[in-house]
Amino acid sequence: MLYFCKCLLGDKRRLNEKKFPNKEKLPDGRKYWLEVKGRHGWKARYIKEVNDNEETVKFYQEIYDETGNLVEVHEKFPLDKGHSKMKGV
Amino acid sequence: MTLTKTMLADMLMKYINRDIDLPNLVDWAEKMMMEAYFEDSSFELIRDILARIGLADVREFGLTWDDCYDYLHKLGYDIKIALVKA
Repeated sequence: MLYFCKCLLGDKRRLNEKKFPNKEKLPDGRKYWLEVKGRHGWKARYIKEVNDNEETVKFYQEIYDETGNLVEVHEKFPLDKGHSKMKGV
Repeated sequence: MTLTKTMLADMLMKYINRDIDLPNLVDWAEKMMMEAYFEDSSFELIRDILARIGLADVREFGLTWDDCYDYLHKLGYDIKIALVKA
């Protein structure tokens, strides 16, 4: 059972590492992200934060304008809060 | 679940044929990005197309007809348009 659980954990981690090429360690898990280029120099990041069991604890998008300023965040999980524009934008 | 090229193409066709609207397509793509497995042989292709679809509700990303045509072509399909009486 423990071996089966470890295998599942390994599978989930491999999937996350393949899907989101960038990662950093967090105190209680990991943060993964994938950068996507948009039009007119804009870009976005998909960010997935997981706990030590590789379970998703947070998933959101960050939108950056052509000068690299964060202009919008879309929190998807654990609650879908829709798009939130940053102050001053 | 494992998302295949065919399943992704089907969802794009549903959008083109107005069987689903943009918010629902975007929502589906975001959920797939979060947790789904992708067909191993086309992993990066599926991921990259899906990632763009999940941002289609942001103006500077969007989803144009040309985008749909391009994505479907990369997924192995070409589109043929026919007129149907309303």
